[in-house]
Amino acid sequence: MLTDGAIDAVMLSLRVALVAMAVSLPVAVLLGYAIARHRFFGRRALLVLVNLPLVLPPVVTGYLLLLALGPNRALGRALADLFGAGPAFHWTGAAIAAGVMAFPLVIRPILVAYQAIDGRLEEAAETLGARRAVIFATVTLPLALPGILAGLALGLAKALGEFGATIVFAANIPGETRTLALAIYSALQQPNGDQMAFLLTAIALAVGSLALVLSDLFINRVQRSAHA
Amino acid sequence: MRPVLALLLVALPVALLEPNCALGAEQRVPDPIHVFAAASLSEAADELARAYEGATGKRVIVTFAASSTLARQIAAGAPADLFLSAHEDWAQWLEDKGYLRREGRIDFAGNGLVVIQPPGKQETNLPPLDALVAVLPGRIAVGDPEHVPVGRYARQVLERNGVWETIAPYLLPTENTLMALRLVEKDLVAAGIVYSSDAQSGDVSVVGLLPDPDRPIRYVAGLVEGRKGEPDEEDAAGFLRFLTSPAAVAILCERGFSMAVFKGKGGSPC
Repeated sequence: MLTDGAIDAVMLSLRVALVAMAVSLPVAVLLGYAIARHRFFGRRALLVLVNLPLVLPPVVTGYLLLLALGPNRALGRALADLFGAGPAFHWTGAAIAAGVMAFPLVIRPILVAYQAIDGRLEEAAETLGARRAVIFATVTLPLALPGILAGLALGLAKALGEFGATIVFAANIPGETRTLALAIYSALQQPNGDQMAFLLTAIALAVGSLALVLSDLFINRVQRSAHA
Repeated sequence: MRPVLALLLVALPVALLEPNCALGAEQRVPDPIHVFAAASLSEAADELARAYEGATGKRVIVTFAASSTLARQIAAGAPADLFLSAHEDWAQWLEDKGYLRREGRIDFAGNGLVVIQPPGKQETNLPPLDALVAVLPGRIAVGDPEHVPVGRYARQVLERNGVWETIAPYLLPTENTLMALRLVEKDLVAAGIVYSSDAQSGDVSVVGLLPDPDRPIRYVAGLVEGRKGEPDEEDAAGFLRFLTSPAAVAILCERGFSMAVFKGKGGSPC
């Protein structure tokens, strides 16, 4: 049925993107803080590494993931033993690919947000006796929240649309790794796939627009309450 | 400095955009024959093209992808003069839509299906169908059975032998047969189903030949309809005729294709 494949693709895309963000966001929040606020050896190199998926062709990133985590690599086999399957050619691999590709977009607004925070507010908390972790949780994070949410929105959008790294690292297995983008691509390769391609494109537009509108409303709400 | 920079900024795009800017009209290179060929014909078609160029001086450019994908592109107006398909269905589909000419359409080769495994990893002496079941739950790479010819043929064979339901959930569908070959070569999947000609060109362990599908594997070639001007139709038709010449047959046989579909043509090398 035309809709079965479409529903599979949408649900898979949502699962992949949400899992990718569930892992990327905390990493970006913590790593972003370290990069934004501290000077340490290798900081510049780390910044380059973090932004690499942005400048590399996505298929190259997928290929690198295969080299590192493929089923014929020690690390890949270890992960497969640990979790029972994947990550290559598995939905978890699609999530890793999406997460890696989205990471530069997630961390960027977060870095900007941290750098924009008035350091004196944190210092004030320190003079009042708060521990570093508490300062981070009660002062830094709330101030950086709009940036964190913007990073989340961007990352989610990118993860939902990820294609190149996904098709190389997770392949195009219907029902398992065929996300929305891959499903549209498959439909375009088939001589009678026009109907399916059209349906999937309409869904992708709807999901994308909804995501943008919701994130915009949400960020607005947070910003207004921050200025209250 | 400024005027030189300005001049460069203007000259560069112009130079990049004008392909024949250095040539006079008399020196203009004749348009080549554009052939869209099934991925499994990769090295064979390149060799055929070179042979044809050597014999006639006419340039042939070959584009490879799954026959299904190529048919799609041709129907969307891609600049192909000839279509070499690994499955009759896609040639027929194009003809029904008016993009492939009925006259001049020929069958020019056959092939076999084999089960392959990563080099050095063969399932001990099992017949190919049993070997496929034995590698489960490992993944089996094959061109997408929904549209890629090799996948469609494979599905027919597996269904006919009662193992399709068992194996289907473990297939890794690829966009063309060469991708499946590469996955097996790199030991990324447990096994694969490709053409005999693919297995010959790759570095894999061949487990065995699968039974033929009910409709034999047949490569079909035809002239694309609707190409205005461009190279003479004579040139494209010439290459089409070349495909059944002894020289072409020799090249195809050497690459692992079979001429068994043409039993009538006595004395064929393979």
